[in-house]
Amino acid sequence: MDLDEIRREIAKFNLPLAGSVVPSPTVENCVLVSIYTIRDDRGRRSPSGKTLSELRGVIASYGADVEYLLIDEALSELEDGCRTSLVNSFPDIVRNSYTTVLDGVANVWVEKKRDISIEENTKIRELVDNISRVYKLRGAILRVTSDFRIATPTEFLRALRKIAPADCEDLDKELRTRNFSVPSLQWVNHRLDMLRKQGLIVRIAAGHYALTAVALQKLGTVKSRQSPDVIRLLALARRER
Amino acid sequence: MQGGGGGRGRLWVQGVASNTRTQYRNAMEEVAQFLSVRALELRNDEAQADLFGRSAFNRYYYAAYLITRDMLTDFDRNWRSTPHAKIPEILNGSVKKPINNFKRMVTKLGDSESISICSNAISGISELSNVLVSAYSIRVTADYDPDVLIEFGEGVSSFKLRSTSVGVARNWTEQARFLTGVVRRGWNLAHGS
Repeated sequence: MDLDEIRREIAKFNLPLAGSVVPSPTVENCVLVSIYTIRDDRGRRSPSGKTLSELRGVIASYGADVEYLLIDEALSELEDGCRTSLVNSFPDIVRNSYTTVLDGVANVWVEKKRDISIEENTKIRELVDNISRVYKLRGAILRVTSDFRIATPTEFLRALRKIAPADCEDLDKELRTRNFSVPSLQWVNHRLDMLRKQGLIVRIAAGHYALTAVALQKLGTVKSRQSPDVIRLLALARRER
Repeated sequence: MQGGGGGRGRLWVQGVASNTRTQYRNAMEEVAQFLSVRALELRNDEAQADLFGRSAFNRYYYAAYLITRDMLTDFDRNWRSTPHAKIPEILNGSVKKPINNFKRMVTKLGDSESISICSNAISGISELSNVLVSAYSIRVTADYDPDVLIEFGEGVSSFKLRSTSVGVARNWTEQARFLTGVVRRGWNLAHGS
């Protein structure tokens, strides 16, 4: 692949390059071309698909393929606009927001300060949809993250697998040892109830719980230093002392 | 450290070094900011302004790169010496694969919270990869294409290199910080026990 020749050919197209033409880091015999794009009032993009296709053909004649990274300069305003709108509209929910656009669809990330209700999630969703309409996008995907670590049901089951049979307080302690945030003992109880109804844990006498065979089978195991079976044995051994 | 694996010695090194790494990265951003401001102050001296301006792009790229490399090193210390251009390959291969596999497992378990974390991590990997690829391309221009000069806009607060504004470059570190957090959550979930 003659990179210099390819760069000369690309230069003939007079495209608004957003960076140097470099070999693709993931595909052999492929170049990465970063191009700034603009949209007219009807949402049509420039450079057009036809132009990009022509360029691909030219590059192919040199035995190489091309990956395009298309960057919409106007949409750099979208990220700021989105962040400002979300933080100001939901100041007690949204800590931060970050937006990218891929193929005309916005990926809107929201970092929340606390757990949110379905209704609150819907309101955030509506705002994101409105913003994507203003910027003439094809749509938007909302992704909600948090800066606090709450154990998912799987992580909850892993903790119980290690220390079973265990009660609420035992689980609370184990989860905190694993650096999870535990909202309250009531939350732990609620999780236990949910998993019991799903047939993944069973209640033993005196308020203790253990995993069912179904849960053990679904969680599986690994043959490594991190094997949950080894961790379980070590926990049992410590308990015996 | 959840999902970190490794022996006690490795955890201790991570614990002591993490503050130093953070300070180093923050210092890198401060340097980038200083270079940006200096480029604007010198805008009437084209040669000087160009040197400071393109160095700012270089430093913003390295700040984002270091945030990503720190994450990869925490996952597997062998990844510390990954060449710049290969980082997207590691992200989209060795980092994404176990998270994808784990997502299949928790789908069978019906754990929608874990599925969501994995989906976010997988999407975050793609976006982080795009940020790094784009930033690397600009950094190559800054370092190896001296004929491509910094351009100053009509206002006094910004300049560009190949149509990429310094404001966009400044966002690279925040994007890397945000996205590595999302990816770390998915990785730790997939590697927990």
